[in-house]
Amino acid sequence: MKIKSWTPYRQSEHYDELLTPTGKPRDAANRAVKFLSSLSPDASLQRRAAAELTMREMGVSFTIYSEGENIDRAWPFDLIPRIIPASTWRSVSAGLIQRNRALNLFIDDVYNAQRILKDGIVPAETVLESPNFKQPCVGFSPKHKVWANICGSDLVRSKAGEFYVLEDNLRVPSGVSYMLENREVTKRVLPELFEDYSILPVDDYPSQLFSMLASLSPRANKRPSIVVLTPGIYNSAYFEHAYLAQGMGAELVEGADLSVGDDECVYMHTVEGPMRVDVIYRRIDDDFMDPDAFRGDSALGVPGLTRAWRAGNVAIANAPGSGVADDKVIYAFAPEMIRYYLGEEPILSNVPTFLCMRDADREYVLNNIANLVVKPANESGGYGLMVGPHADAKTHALFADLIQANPRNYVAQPMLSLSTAPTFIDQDIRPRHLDLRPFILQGASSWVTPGGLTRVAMREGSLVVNSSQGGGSKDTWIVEDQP
Amino acid sequence: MILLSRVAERLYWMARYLERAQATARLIRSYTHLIMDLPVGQSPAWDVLVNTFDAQNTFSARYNTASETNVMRYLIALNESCNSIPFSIQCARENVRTTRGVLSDDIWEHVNELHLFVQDQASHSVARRNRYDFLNEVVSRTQLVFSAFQHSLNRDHIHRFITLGRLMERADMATRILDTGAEAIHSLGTSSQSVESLLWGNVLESQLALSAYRRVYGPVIDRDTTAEFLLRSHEFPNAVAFGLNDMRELLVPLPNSEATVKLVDEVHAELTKLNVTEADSEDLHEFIDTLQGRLIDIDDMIAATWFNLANT
Repeated sequence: MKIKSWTPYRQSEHYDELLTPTGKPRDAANRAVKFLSSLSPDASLQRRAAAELTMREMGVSFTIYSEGENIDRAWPFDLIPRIIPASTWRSVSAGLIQRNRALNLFIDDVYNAQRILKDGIVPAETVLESPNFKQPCVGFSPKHKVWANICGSDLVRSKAGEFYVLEDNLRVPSGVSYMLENREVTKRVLPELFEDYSILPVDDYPSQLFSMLASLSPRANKRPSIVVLTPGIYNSAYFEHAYLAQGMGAELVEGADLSVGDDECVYMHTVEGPMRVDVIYRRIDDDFMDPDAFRGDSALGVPGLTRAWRAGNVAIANAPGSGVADDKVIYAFAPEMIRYYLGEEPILSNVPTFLCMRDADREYVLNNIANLVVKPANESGGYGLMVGPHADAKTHALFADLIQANPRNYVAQPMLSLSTAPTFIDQDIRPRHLDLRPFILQGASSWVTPGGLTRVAMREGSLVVNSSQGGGSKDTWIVEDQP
Repeated sequence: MILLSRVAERLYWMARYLERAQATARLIRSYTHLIMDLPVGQSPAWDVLVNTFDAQNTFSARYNTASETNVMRYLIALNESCNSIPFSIQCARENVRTTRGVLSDDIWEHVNELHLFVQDQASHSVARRNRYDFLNEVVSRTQLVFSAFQHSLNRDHIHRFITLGRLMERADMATRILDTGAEAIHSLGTSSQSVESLLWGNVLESQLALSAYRRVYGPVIDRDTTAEFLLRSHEFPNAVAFGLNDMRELLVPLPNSEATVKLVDEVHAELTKLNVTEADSEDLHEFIDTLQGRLIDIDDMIAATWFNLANT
């Protein structure tokens, strides 16, 4: 095969992050494109190989389940960065903070006064009958009234380049360590570019996370003892749990390392004996956290943890029950929440969403199912969704039946035009679709990662970016505009 | 400083596995050298290496004969064999992977690279031609990790448990190698007299002890002084007595360590009880056997004192 050097493409069907429809670099990408096109084909292959080797040597991996086995895979990474001007990013960042504040006020409201339900803004049954509404949380309010302290929101970019929120991940969002490692690799492999650009650093995420978690501590006068609670080495995000614990100087604990004492405080087992824990950053689902309060058959959790939490003796981030706002039906109401709780207009838009529980919406969805993306309200990782235009008539009929059997459980959205960016495919450079997951921290105050994790659908035309389904990733640069 | 019991246990075992991998590599390396030096017909068989690990049963379940190739496959290339180098490295890596939070990036990267290297090369390194390079690489890469322990960690409990694991494994391997070495040389009988010095030199070499020995006892090597040196030297770091001293020093600052320190002192005192020059080969074997049992006692007490707290 003939090896080509940088070959820009023309495409006007979608918004491209680096190139204009005529194939010229956008302003912010100009110097990066110039540099990459100056590399000989051999040199560019060498850099790609170096990036791959660096990932392997740093041990950046994720675990997938296949045929009953856990396989530790090297993290897939595309060397060409995605570049966003800081001026664009500032409003996205403000929009994320605004949205997150409203979502947290919503969670605190539904577990307490339920004003928004009584005022009829959100239909009460969509919340109260949801499996995500956790009875053990009713009547409690965590410190700062914030439940989802760490949120990973998925953003996509329309044909006009406008950012839309596709999903709010409020339970145990993952991916932030890959954002950090991607930057680390880019610095090692493309050091020249860092001389030309003023790229906002991402490295201080662990210290921002630490300060946020520390602001939740029930014992304000002491240096808080913070732990990261992991389900263990076989979890697909174990690498990240270990990475963040190390970055914060916190202990990485498993359920068996913790117990709740007679004083309703949480202790970890150390070589010096039991030691009190103030803040738990849990990376384990609600249902498995505490066999006393949630699923009794869980061997991963800590019996009595919810009791200790409600007694105010330990902070848990994200708080149990936060998932009540992480639901594709509730998602549709986020703009309303912003108006209701904050009295502001949403800065970031939602993707238009049809709720199948509404008669008119359902009728529209059933009549247009071949043109829509149908999603179950309560799944993550891209599972169980149907992309109408890519599915056959039999699948359309199957989903029509599913919707009619359980309308509350389905939403539908128009086909999105996801933005693209130049990506190394074999020896060539081709446009591939991508999304962006920034991370929002909220404790005593709010903070957003400069950029986030860009995930890429490596197959031509595909919109599926999940790493469990063959997605890759890119480093994401927020660059200060040139004076 | 906080150290979880579970983490302490994994650190201890991580260090044991790394030390074991290195000791195994050294042992095979010096044994291969020895075989090349000996006249045909006077060399002990390859199963001596299998015996060192008390692995006769698991070995013979898989192989019919203790040929060089089979023994080398078993110790160098076989992932599933719990006595192989790849197995030890894999266990060490799993333990680092689950304790990364308290270790340096340096340690993780070295261990991970070592693991990738072993996975990649082990199966091509059974034949003599590549074996030496492979074993050398294992020795020097483990050395790199040990050096990262020394230079990138605070001298706190984390470092103590890691070093305890290393010392325990070292003492265990030293006694194993001395025991099987003595037995193998003894079994050759009078035919080995002409090469006995060479054989004992090999036992020392596998402990990196040859030149240190020479500086104390001179160039002629025999059983008594070798045993004396490997068991009771207070100058040579791989000797059992030296290791027990180090262990004591590490144990004292640990919480609730009184009983374990006392046990180590007892074992140390027991070391002096053997009169090497009067002991026949049976006596020596029995003495080492008892000593190994006592090392296991120390290991058990460390586990009971610091690792199993969640169950109490």
